[in-house]
Amino acid sequence: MTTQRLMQAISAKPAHTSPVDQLVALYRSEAFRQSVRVALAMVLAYAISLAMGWEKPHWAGLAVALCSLGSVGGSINKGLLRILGTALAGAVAIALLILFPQDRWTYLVVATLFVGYSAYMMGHSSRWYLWSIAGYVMALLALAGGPDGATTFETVVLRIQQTAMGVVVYSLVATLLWPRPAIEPLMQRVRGLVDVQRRLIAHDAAILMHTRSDVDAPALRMQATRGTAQLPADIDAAELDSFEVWETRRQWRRCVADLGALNEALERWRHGFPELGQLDLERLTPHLATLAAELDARLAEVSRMLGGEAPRRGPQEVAARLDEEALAAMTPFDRAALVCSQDQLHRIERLTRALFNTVADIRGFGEPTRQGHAERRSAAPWTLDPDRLTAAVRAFVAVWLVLLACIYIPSFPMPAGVIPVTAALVIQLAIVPQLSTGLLVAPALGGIVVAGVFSIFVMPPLSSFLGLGVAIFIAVFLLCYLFSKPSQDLARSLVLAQFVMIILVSNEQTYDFLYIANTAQMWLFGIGAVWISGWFPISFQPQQVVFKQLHRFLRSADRLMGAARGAPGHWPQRMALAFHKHELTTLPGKLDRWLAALPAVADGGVPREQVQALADSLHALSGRVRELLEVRGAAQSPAIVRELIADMRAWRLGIQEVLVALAADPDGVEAGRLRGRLDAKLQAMEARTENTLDGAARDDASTEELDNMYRMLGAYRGVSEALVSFASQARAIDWPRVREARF
Amino acid sequence: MNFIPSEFAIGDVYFPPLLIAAVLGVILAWLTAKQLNRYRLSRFFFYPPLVLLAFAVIYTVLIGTFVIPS
Repeated sequence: MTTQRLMQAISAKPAHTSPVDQLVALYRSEAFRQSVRVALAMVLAYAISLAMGWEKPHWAGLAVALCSLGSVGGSINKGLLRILGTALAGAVAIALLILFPQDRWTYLVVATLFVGYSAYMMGHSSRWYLWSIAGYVMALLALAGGPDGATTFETVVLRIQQTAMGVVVYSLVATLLWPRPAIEPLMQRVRGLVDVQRRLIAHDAAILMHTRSDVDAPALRMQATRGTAQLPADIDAAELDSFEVWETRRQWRRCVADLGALNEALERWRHGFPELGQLDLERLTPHLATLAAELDARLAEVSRMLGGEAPRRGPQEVAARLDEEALAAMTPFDRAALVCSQDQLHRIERLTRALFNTVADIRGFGEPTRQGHAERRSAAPWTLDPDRLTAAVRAFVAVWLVLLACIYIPSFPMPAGVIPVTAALVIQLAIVPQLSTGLLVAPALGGIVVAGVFSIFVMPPLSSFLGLGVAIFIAVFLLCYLFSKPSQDLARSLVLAQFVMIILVSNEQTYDFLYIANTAQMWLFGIGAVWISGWFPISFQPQQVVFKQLHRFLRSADRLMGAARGAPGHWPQRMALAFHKHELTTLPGKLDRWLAALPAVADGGVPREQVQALADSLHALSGRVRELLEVRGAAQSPAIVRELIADMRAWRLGIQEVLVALAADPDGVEAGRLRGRLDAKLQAMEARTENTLDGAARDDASTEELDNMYRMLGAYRGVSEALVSFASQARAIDWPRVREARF
Repeated sequence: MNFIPSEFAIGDVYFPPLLIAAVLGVILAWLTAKQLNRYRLSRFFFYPPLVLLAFAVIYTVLIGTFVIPS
């Protein structure tokens, strides 16, 4: 199959190219080069380890197999995290041994709590690999130290030594052989993201100006979301192999924050479009076309600077010229929609300006900048994440299942292997909890079969390291080439890890079929324990998780809507508020992944388009509620508040009532009736607001207070519209079918 | 009648009959579950994971008794 792929790679070129050209193309392909790098580093790591007479050379091979990424910086970053994770795991393993030398159950409880904590920390930052390693290596080192732990310290030192050597060897090979600095993919990704946002702005402006746009906006939005999520890891990698990025790392992180904030601002701007549908925007906002052109030119210059060229122009001011006469003639809600849309547009303008300045600073084309426009994430108070907590509980349960099996089932195969394997799998699943456990079986067993054949049929006739080195080089090269696509990263890591663990190279080489069979059983038991922990005590079935997360999202929206305006109060109230804000902000993204994991129609599930529409409406609702929370803090005219407060309160309570009803049953609210209620409420509020503004209250209010009142009206209407849209999308889904019990 | 299945020899390597029966039993149970999901018959079971285990056990016993020669 690998030979077939190599042949396909050669024959895929146009017919007129000569075989030499085809070979040159193969030689220049990144898949070929990366496979050579990994294979060479693996052979060198084994050679050094065996020559030095160190025990367990496969630990060095494992470090090469799992830390070999496409770029030098990426590999060094992963390698450093692996070393740090191993050191942390070693420290914990030794500390536990010192603290609980005679208390078996206390020792096991604390050790498994650490595994659970590592699973919890996986979702903390882009440096999750450190926790992935710390969690399972702690179990491995504790068990490798023997029943009385007498050799734990030596084992810890050996593990760190072999891991560090593997990482250093791969880093050297990657630096010397066709080096590929991480700054290249970083620049490419940022430029791609800027280009996507430029096209999205043009598309959205075209919608408002009723002109044609052929852009596939949903695909671009998905690209923007994924690209923004990947950027922090790219910067982690690039700052390690590029002094240029290291020097400007703060500016790079600011640039990423601004890109994320720009993404969100664009989404919020778009969510307000339905309320602007009836308005003649060309007359009301004559500056819209000029501003769209300026934003386009600004982002084009950002892209140009990222390409290394000096900008031809700086950001230009575009005066917002609103037609005051036409504004005065508008209904309060139309004016509110316009004010909210203009606010988002101003935010987009400020963010693109900040992005321009930051990129100019990074590339040395402008003055040093102090801060970006996006809010700092670290400013938010700490909150508990229920989904990360469930991942921790799952890790704890899975490890306990195998622990109890190892303790109470006589001759349970390879206890010292099955516990770390289970811990490694379940901790890894903390970042992709929606992944079906069954998908792990094929790469795990496939790797064992390939390595088993190599170990039984290829290795025994070899009599020197030269032969072994060549054989390992060829096998690792073929495995890497076969799994060279980015989507095959997980499978490649699993297969390479299996290969290294099965061939178990050492100076006194032994061949044992029973070891291979037991390893296969060990993996199946590990995967089985992880599978059971996906059902019990907390279900990780997508149809169950989607309901729970929807419920939490709607309850948090309800709590935030009901939170008192003004100061958040004492510590418990502040924590509760921060928790609900965190839920409201993060759950739509999580639900995207879980909704995508629901069974397809062919497997008895619901149509994918309906699910996608529901996910979009959740993002809109989240954005609208957060917008309302921001607006609620703004200064309001006391006279206007006095007049409108009773109606606004009734409106808010109405929204909360609907949120509670939807949380109890997403299918329970009829969108048509909700729309009728909303229209009636809008008419009543419109009349009340016009009366208020016709009276003396208008004279008492400043321009800013008046604008804030319009913002508040717009935000309430936005939440209501988003709620109607969500109820209508939720109604379209066959929930009993989604909820059906499945295997 | 002897119901004890004999050992399995693949390339001179002897495998316990229960291992072969269990592997085939799990594969068949998984295939059955896929079909039950596809035709929406899984909704008639109270707790599908236990049913899957039960299927695996039933298939293993049946294969061990009637398919693997004694």
